Amino acid sequence: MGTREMIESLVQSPPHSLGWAAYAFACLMALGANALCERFLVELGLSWGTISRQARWLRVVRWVGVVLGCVVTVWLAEPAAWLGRVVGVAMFSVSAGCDLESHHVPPDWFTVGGTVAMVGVWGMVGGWEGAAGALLAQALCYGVMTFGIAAFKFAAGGDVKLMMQYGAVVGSVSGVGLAFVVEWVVRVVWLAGWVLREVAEGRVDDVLRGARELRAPHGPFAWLGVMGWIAIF
Amino acid sequence: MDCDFLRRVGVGLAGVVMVGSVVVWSGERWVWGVGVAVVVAIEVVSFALLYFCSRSGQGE
Repeated sequence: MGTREMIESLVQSPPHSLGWAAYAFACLMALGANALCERFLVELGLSWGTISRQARWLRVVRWVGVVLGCVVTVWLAEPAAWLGRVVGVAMFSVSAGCDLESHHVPPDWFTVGGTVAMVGVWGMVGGWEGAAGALLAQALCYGVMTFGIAAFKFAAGGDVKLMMQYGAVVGSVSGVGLAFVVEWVVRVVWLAGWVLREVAEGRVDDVLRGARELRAPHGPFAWLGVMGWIAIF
Repeated sequence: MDCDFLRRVGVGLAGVVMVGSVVVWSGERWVWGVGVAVVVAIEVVSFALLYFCSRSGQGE
């Protein structure tokens, strides 16, 4: 789709006849997600006044990213699925945003409660099969993450709850597989970019020593995986 | 309670959940009713065991 066609599809006829109310709803959800994320970050001692200049930029990027993510979700979604997807993206944005800025996931009531809520949302959208798909997807994520942490220690315990929410947001086992592939493609590209930059700047020792970049927060990459799934399906 | 043992049980059950969720998903739709219920029940038990042991801090 060219730039002109893209603008026309946004301005002249809201895609899939969703109407502008859907976009307004997406913006509202994004604002709510950002506000909730702010609240969790304040609880972690990371209010605007206490963070560094670089962290403020990261926070601005998160605000813009969440709004764009919710709007793009409505734009790309089929009429039957847009509501579930935009609620899911907004909810997961809170967890991913907290992880991005603080390397902590939100409290259990939000991650576990959000997982249960998303099963309910998919149940409302897709009936029994929708709820069953979300239950299986979050169960798969729980199993993979718990088993992976026990065997390989590649993540922290909080990531299990994050991934349960991720599975429930995507809502299907096949979707989880696709989102996971997208997430890892992004991760590998990002890691390759980091290695190239370090080598170009003559810090080869950092590359050899440091798997520190491998310990980057899981949430933002998972969020990009969800967005990749939305773009493809 | 021996949390080291309970943690192993929890992780083992998580492995069952991982395999079970894929098996149920790839099965016929009529399997879903029972299959989903069993997988989620095992997941809840596994989660509860690991959550309890992480909170109590035993078996380190």
